[in-house]
Parts: sequence; C-alpha cells; structure tokens
Amino acid sequence: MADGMKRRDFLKVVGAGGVGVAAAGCSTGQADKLIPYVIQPEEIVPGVPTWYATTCRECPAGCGLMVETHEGRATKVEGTPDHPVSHGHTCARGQASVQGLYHPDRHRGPSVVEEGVGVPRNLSWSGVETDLARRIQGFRQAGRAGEIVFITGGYTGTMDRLARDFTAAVGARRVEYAPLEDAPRDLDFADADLLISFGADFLETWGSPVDYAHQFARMHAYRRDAGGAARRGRFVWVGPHRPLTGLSADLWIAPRPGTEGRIAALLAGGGGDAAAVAQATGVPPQKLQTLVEWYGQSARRVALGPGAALSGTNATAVRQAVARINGAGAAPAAGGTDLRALRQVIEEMRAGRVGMVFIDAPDPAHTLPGGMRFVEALKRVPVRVSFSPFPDETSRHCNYLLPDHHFLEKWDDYEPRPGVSALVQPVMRPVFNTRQVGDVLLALARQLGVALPGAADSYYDYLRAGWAGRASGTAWREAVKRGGVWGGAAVAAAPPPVQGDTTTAATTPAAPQPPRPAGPVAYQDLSFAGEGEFHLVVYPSYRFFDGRTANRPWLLELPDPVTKVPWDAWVEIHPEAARRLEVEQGDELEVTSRHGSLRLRAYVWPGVRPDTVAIQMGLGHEGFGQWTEGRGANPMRLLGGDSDAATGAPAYFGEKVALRRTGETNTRWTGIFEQGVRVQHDRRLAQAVSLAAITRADAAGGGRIPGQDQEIEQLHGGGGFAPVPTHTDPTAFPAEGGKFGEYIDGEVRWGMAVDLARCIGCAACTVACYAENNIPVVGPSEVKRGRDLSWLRIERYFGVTREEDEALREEATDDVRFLPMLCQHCSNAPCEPVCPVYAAYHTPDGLNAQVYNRCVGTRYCANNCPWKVRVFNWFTYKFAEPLNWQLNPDVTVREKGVMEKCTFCVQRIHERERGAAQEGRLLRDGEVVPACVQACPTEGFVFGNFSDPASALSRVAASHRGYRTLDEINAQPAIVYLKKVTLHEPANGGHGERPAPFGGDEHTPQGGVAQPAQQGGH
Amino acid sequence: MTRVHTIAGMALLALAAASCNQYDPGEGPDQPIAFYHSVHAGTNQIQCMYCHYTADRSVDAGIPSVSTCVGCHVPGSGAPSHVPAQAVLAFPTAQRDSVWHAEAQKLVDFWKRGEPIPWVRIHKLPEHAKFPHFVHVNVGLQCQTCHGPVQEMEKVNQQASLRMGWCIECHRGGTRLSAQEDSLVKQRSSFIRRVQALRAAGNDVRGVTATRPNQRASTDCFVCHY
Repeated sequence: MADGMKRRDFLKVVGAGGVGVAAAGCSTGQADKLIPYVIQPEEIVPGVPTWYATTCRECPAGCGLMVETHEGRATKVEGTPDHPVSHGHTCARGQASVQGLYHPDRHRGPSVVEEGVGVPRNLSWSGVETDLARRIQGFRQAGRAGEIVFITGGYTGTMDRLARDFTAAVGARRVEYAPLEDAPRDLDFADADLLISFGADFLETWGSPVDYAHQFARMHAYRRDAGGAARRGRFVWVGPHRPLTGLSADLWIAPRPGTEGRIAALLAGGGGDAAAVAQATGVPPQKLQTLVEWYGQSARRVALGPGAALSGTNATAVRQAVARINGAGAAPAAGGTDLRALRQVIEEMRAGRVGMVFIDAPDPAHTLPGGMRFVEALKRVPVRVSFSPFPDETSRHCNYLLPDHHFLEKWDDYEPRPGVSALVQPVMRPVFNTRQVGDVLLALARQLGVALPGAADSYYDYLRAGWAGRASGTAWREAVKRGGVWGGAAVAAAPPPVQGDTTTAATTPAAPQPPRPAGPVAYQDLSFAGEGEFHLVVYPSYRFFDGRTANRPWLLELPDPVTKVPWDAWVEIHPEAARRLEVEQGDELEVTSRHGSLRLRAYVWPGVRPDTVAIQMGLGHEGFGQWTEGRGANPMRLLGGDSDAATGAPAYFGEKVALRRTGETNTRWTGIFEQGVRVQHDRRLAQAVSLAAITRADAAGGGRIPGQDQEIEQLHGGGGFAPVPTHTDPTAFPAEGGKFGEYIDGEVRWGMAVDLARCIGCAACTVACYAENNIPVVGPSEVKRGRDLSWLRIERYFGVTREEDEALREEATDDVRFLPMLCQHCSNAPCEPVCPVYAAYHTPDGLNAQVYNRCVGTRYCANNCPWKVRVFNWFTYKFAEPLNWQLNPDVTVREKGVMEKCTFCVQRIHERERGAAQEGRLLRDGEVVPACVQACPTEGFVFGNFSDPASALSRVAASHRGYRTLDEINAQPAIVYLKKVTLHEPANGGHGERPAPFGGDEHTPQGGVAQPAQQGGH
Repeated sequence: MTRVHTIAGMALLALAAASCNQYDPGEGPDQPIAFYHSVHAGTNQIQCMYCHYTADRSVDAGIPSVSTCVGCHVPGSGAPSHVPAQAVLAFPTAQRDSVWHAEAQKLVDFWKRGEPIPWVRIHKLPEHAKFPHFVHVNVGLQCQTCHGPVQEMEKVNQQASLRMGWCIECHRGGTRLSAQEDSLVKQRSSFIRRVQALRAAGNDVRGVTATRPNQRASTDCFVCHY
C-alpha cells in the first residue's frame, strides 16, 4: 500500500488495541502460578514470619539477634530481648547485616585465579579443596610447612580452637589480626555518676556499643531517684576531636594531642597540680577545674579508654593511667592484635620466605597502615587464599577465593565477653555457593590425613561436640533457641523503657571506690612524627567500622551521624584553621604524611582542635564492590604501622600531616553534601532544659517547664495568630463537632514520645526503618538533589539560633541536639486537606495514612508539611538482585510517582491487632513496637495509645519536659518530645526565659502536652 | 465512514472500561493435574483446611505441598527419592487405563522428581491490597461465601469479583450471609457497642475481650492498603 496505513485502519487498530489494553488492565486473573512446597517444612507457616536467634558478627561486640524470616528468607534483624549484650536492641550496622547477606557483589562460589590468566576460574568446593590440600602436602613433604601462614581475625571459642589445632597439626603458623577488637566488652558503668572517656567511642565502635549505649542511657539520661529528685550522670569526653560519642558529653577536654594521659594521671592523683597540667596540655584552666570538681563530687566514676583514635605508641601508659582512675592496680591485658608479629610475617612475605597464606581477617590490605606495604608483600607469596565473602582489596590480590558464609548462614559460636557463650545459627540456606571456613579447614585436614582433636565430618558436628560439656540434648536446643548460654542470675532485668519522669526504682547506692594505688603514674607524652603542622586523628567509623561494612547501601546512604554527609568521606578541620588555609566547607584538601597522601573534601566544624584534622576510617576502597568504588579515601594510607611499645597494638595516633588546598572547590555534584542545617533558625525544634531549671520548677511546686509555649501565648495576645481553639490534651482533639480524626470512642489513638535526653544520634532507628519498610536507596547524586527516601531522619543541631556562624563557634558542639524527625501523625494534619484524591487521610486510630494506590503524585502534601517528612518516589528504584530478597512482604514496594512517609509501622499494628483479636482481647500496652522503637539502644522512644491514660506513653508524655514541635501552627502532632536535659543553662534561641507561673495559669500551656495536675509526673 | 469507526472505537473502549465493573466467572483454567474439588471436597467430604492448612492462622490460605497429596495417594512414600518403582496409587483402587490413573500418575511423577506442582492461580486480589484469610475464617465465614460452591466444581473458577466494592459491600452488611455466619459475625463485631455500654455504665473496659468492628474496613483505607 503506497500511502501506508489509512486512517480507518489506524482507528481499527486503536479500537482493538484499546479493548485489549482495557481488558488486560482490569483483569485480576493473570496467569500466575502458585508454587507450593514439595515437602512442607514443619516450622514454616507461609505468610507468618519465623524467628531465629543468632549472634551478630558485624563487629566484635557479639549482640544477640532475632532474625525474622519469611518463607526461608531473612528480612530483618532485631535484638534478642533480655540478651546481656544487646538488651533487645541493635546498632545501625547490625540492622544492615541483612544487606551483607544479600549483597550482589558477593562471590558466587569458589574460584582460582591462575598465573597469567587473571580471570577467576570457577571450581567446585571439592576441587578447590583437593588442589589446596595437594599444595599444603607439597610444603609439608619438602619440610617447609612453616612457610604456611594463617592470618585469622577475631576468632574465639570453637573457631579459635580449630584454627589452633589445624595450624599445629599442619605445622603452619598462625597470626592474629583483629583491628579495633582490643577494647574491653564487659565494663559496667550503668550506675556511675561520672563517666570519663579518653577517646573511647563506646557509643559507636569501642567495645560493645549497643550494651554501652544502653548503660550510658541509664547513667546519663535524666531520671528521678527514689526521693523524687532530678538526677543525671555527667559525661566528660577527652580527646582532640569529637566523634558521635563525644557529642553526648557535658564537657569536652581537648588537650594538646599526645598529652591526654596527663589528664588521666592528674585525676588518678599522681600527675602534679592542675595548673601545671593545664599549662602542659593547653586545656583552659577553668575547664580542667570543672573536671576536677566533678571528679571530687562523684561517688562512682568510671574512665574508659583509650579508644582507637587516641591509641598511639604510648597507649599502654594511657591505659594504665585510666585504670588507676577506675581503682585498678594494673592495666588490663589488651587482647586483639600484636602488630609486631604481623609486621614480622609481612617482612618474611616480602623476602619470599612465605609460600602460602590463608587470610580470614578483616581486609588487611585496606585496614593495615599503608606504611606496612602489605599488598606488595602479599604479591610475593605464591599461594594466596582469601576466605572473604566479598571481593575486597585483599582478595583482589589473592589467587584462591574460598568465600565464607555470611554469619546469618552459618553455625558458629562466639564469646562476646567472659560468662557469655553466644551461638551463631544459620537462619536460612546460603544465598550463594559458599562454604564456611571451619568446614574448609576440616576438609583440608581430612584430605591431608592429619588428626585434629575432636575432628568431625562437618563444622556443625565439631561445634556440637565441643559444646557437649556446656549444653547437650535439650540444653543445646534451649541454647540455640536463646542464642547462647549465659548466667541466669547475672543478667539483670532490663529497666522500664524511657524512665521519663515517672519515679523509678531506687538507684543502686554507689559502690565504694576501691582503694587507689598510691604514687605517681609514670607517663610519657606521645611525640608526633612528621613534617606537617596538623596532628592527624584517624578514627573508626560508626557506620563502616574499619571499613568492613562500607559496602552496605543503607549505611552509605545514611548520613554520618555527626557530619550528616552521606556517601562520602571528608577531612574534619577547625574553622580557624580553615580560615588560615582559606578553605571553605567542601573544598578539596591534599593531606600528606610521611607515608602517603590523599585528597579529601574539607568538613569545617568546631568539633576538632585547631591544630588537628580528623579522618574517618572506612571508605577509600579499591575493589570492594560497586557502591564503594572511587568513594572517599583511606586514611590508613597515611599511617606508618607503628605499634604500642608494650602490647604491639596498632598505633592510629601520632602522625602529623600537611594540608594543601588543591583548588577544587565545592560544587553541588563534586563536593560533599551535608544534609540539613546546623542551626535551628529560631524554630526551637529540639529543646533543652537545664537540670537546675527542673529542680527550680520542682521547688516551685512542679508543673510545666517554661519553653516556647510562652511565646505562642504572647503571639496570641498580640494578634499574631488568628485565635484557634487549642487543646492541651491529644485525646481531647478533635473539638466537639470537629471533623478531624473521627476517632472511635474507646479505640486507640496511636502516638509516640521521644526522649531527647536519651537520644545519642546513632540512627539505628533510621536503618531499622529502611529494613522494615522497604525504603529504597536512591544513590549519591539523587541524595544531593534532596530525594533520599528516609522516613525517619536524625536532625543534628549545633546551635539553636538563626545565625549560621554560631555553629562554627567554639562552644557550638557543647550542646548538640539530636532530634529524631518522622511523620508527626498530626490530628489536624496540614497534608490531609490538600490532597486532591484523598490519598492522605486520617484513620480512626489516629494514624496519618498515605494510600499509595490512590496517590497521583501531586506532591502538594509534601509542600504543605511543615516538618518535611513526606518523601516522593521520583523513580522506580531498583533493589539489585538479590537485595530484593530482603524486602518485607508485609509492606508495599512503592513505585515512581508516589508519596510515602512514616506509617508508625502500620503493618505491625495490624499484625498485633489481629493477633489480639484472635485471642479475643484488647491490645496490651507496649505490644505494638514499631521498628525504630525496637532498634533504639537507649530506649528513647515510647510508642502507644494516648487514649489509655494508664499507658506508658500517656505517662511519659505527661512529663513536664514534654513539648510538641512547631506547636504554634496547631497541627496537633501525635509525637511528644521530651526536652533534653543539660547541666548548663541552655541557650534557647536568644529569648530569655521569663519566670513563669507554674500551674494555676489558665492560659498555659497553650498547645502544650496535656497533663491533668494529678498526673504531673510525680 | 470514518466517523462510524471513530464512534465504534470509542464505544468499544467505553464498553471495555465498563466491563471492568462486572465480573464474568467463566470457566476455570486447566490445571497441571485435573484435580477435582468436587471429588475431594464434595464426594469425599474432605475439609477445606485439610489441604489449605494455614487459612485459620495466616494471611495466606496455604496451597498444599506435594507431600500432602502423596500422603493419601501414594501410601508409604516417605520422601521423593524413595517412591517404589510400582507406586501403589490409592483412592480409588487403581484402574490402570482410567483417566484418574493417568492424572494421578502425574502426581507420582512430580513427587519422584521432587518438583512442586505449578498450579494456575485463580484468585488474585488487586495489587496493593492486603487480605488476611485467618481473620475472616476465624470470624465465622465459610470459605464458600467468597469462593463459591467449590465442593461442586470440577474446575475451580472465580465466583466473586474480589474488587474493593465487593469487599466493602460485605463490610457494610450488604452481603447475604447464612444464618450461622450472620450470628457469628454479629456476635464478634459488636465489640464497640458493648464497650460503649460498659463505659457508660461506669465500668472499667480494659481487658474486655472482642474483635474489631468489621465496619471499619469499609471506611478506613489503611486497614487493607498500606
């Protein structure tokens, strides 16, 4: 046909096609298949999650985990309730462990890289084991078994025994390399009233962060003692820079780098007079005086440290001084790594005297100081075996890749601390063709014909046999069910969540301080080496640890809790130093030490000494998969590999660096992107009150603590607002005849309380929310467009006023406010009336709902949300296979063009409601636990029912510290924040607090949180 | 002529759109094995939940595993690899040339291969809606109320539209239930009225047992869409 399709034909096609489309569009019966099991596993009910107890192995802490599995796939981890280490909670790394399990970069199976080929050849496990056994046998027959080296990392319990027996039987040597694992994990400071940390980031990586965060909240958060008096422990941070842990401190002592031990020595009683120490350390005398005063006032004091960031070649001396504060005579023996032994092995490797190396340690090529030139030495070894489950910098240079199971796939045990034997059990079948190291070692021993004590066919049998003395038969099953064995009586009952202002049980009387050893402490300052003018602090990352968890997309997208920079690395520099170098935030700096140089963007803030720069470990990987490639720089390259003279522990502190401006300035797409703002712009979102003010209020007869509501009152009086009816009681809303929130009488009104005195800003809640609610990761460039989809963010404010430069002043980090910000589920929600399709509406039980399949994406609701907690799906984001296996089947996966936001974990509410209905009862208080509440290691959230005056939520929200954010707009949020409690008088935005009449004033508390007088928190 | 076509095309489109509001049960699809619900649930009176074994405790009703079928049909067959060469097919006594035998042999073959049977799905809720089976089963509804007289069907087909309007109609009380169902549902959904009466009389209502009112799902989107 010459003229192509005629109009008539076109219409025919359109008509027919339209019918086809329409028919398909309204069909519910697509040709789906229902694939049942062949044999139904007994413990699985399809549609109902099965939970397994195991132990987290993302860091040395060893938290007890409960893993939720749906039809054989792990979807979410939570802390094991009443576990002595996790107390039922997790950190952000623990939450992200499922992303390690399903990481698309993982090795698919064993492979060998042959000389000259360069491309890994896939093998079977039996093939690769036979090959390796043959090679080991070759060395043994030649009498060169000593040339076989096994580098192990963090082995305890059964694996430690197996590695020891295996290397002994084969004649090989074993070297331990476990970076950041030498911190004690069994400290008890929950009842201390003064905590002094010498660079020990115990809320992030040091020792047992979840346990320590839990203890920290108990000692540091505001509470009332048995007599009803307001109480709160004090926390002092000593170090040249403030990481997340340091931001919770009430006092920051920043001695001249290298002199930190003098502070410890002064307190321990042997370091000379305070004035001389102030002179020597450069600490302002009045700050030191405060510390000495607090020290004298304290009944039970605990000092921690030194942390990795303060560990130099004199770490043992500092540790001894710290131990003296704690009343201990001698320093505890440091476990962990003796770098001297490793350095010896590396020298032998370089000299060609090592024939075969097995590596099951945290990526030594990345985490070892650059000055040790590990990779160069490794390449000289003919047979290099990596057990890493991921391609990383070490395995990149290995020729035998024997991927280990992820810890959620294997049997193992672990000893987090004395008295706790934790079990690791597989929660699902391995995702890939991996094999656990224990099984490989047993197979090699079998093939070599060497006898191992207690050898068994599989590592599981080996483990069982080893546990026969501790738990066998039903005891074993009980141990597996619990996740291990620990002393029954030793595990103290967990305290009630958020003690708020309700009177808690009597605090334990302070234990008498043990006698302090007399005599001065021998202490040498640390001398810094290098040419530059800046002291270098290399500190572990809360998100990435030493780099081992850096490939998890959730952790990359999670902004750093302190700097709020996602997806990037930076060098922290003081504003004064930045001015001198003419550097602004985000400008590129070249950092040069004796051992190397790297380029990073400057992060300018006052949380670091002017003569110091700080760089976080964790990024700058080469070959650690798709998400870390070319991201940041590795500060370990700047270090030389010195070690503590006494213990051989790695020295991360003691190098000087020079800075040079490269000329690259910050742009939106090339620099770093700091989320949010540093000051509150007078909005007083995150409020604080001093302990003294609470005491004054108590003395005046209780009642509310003055805050921003007074200003609202003034505005009302001056006609600043149109008079609107406000209600002090969330349950009293809506007003008679009102249309908002048609709550059913006698039904629940969901709400939440967040205690800012407990929030440490760790963002475990944020990652838990990602895991529970199928929140996609949008990637670095989308994040810079402000399109990240986090439903719960931790806002971090250095200052409270509107002056941006306030956040750069010295004292700006002394009162940092962390504010968990999520949908406020307003009773009078601004987002709801503007939705043209009723996708945003209010449920009868008080949730601000977002119905995805109604939403047409006008984004009007997000524009109208004063809290900016609604996020929009600009694309249909991908969950790279097999990361999509992690998706929670109870939550819709959203597509392009849909708004989404916090639902208060409505799927959990429904699950519990149905469960209660099945049992024919009402929901119990505390039964519904949203993911964020569940994760929080400091138990800073309370979720519950406002309609029940006896609920924990109602009691906590009735606190006189309670307030609601942006209350002046009368949106009636369902989230009540409790003010942070400071030791000093907080700056509340430059508005002096006028003396307030407590109680009896009928105009107070406008928009405040309700409490009838008899519930005033006493 | 062009106009006729245009109108015809638009009419077709309108018709297609309108057809979305009705539901034509039609004949059910062919299944990989000609499994007759009429024989199992009808003639032999096997309870629905013998096979759909999680309907009262999970959001999913549960599709029987191959081992469930084999338990009756291939007695003594413990695991897929241990099927005797001449498997004895039970129920009814095997007649080697019958259609029944040929279909049952397919089951044996699936079992021997250790493969699941890829049943063709018939009931599928529209996307973005959640439906918990166990709540509805436990409130006293019969399976047939939504799935039709399955015990009479050789090939199962879809009897209800499964659209939102159909759900809401029932939740508003517009669907005729059997007398027994009606009494059970009413008994279990009178909670709110009872609580209100108790509270009005000054009683403590905490601990009062009941379920949600089924009316809520007719107005509250978030009950099913989240």
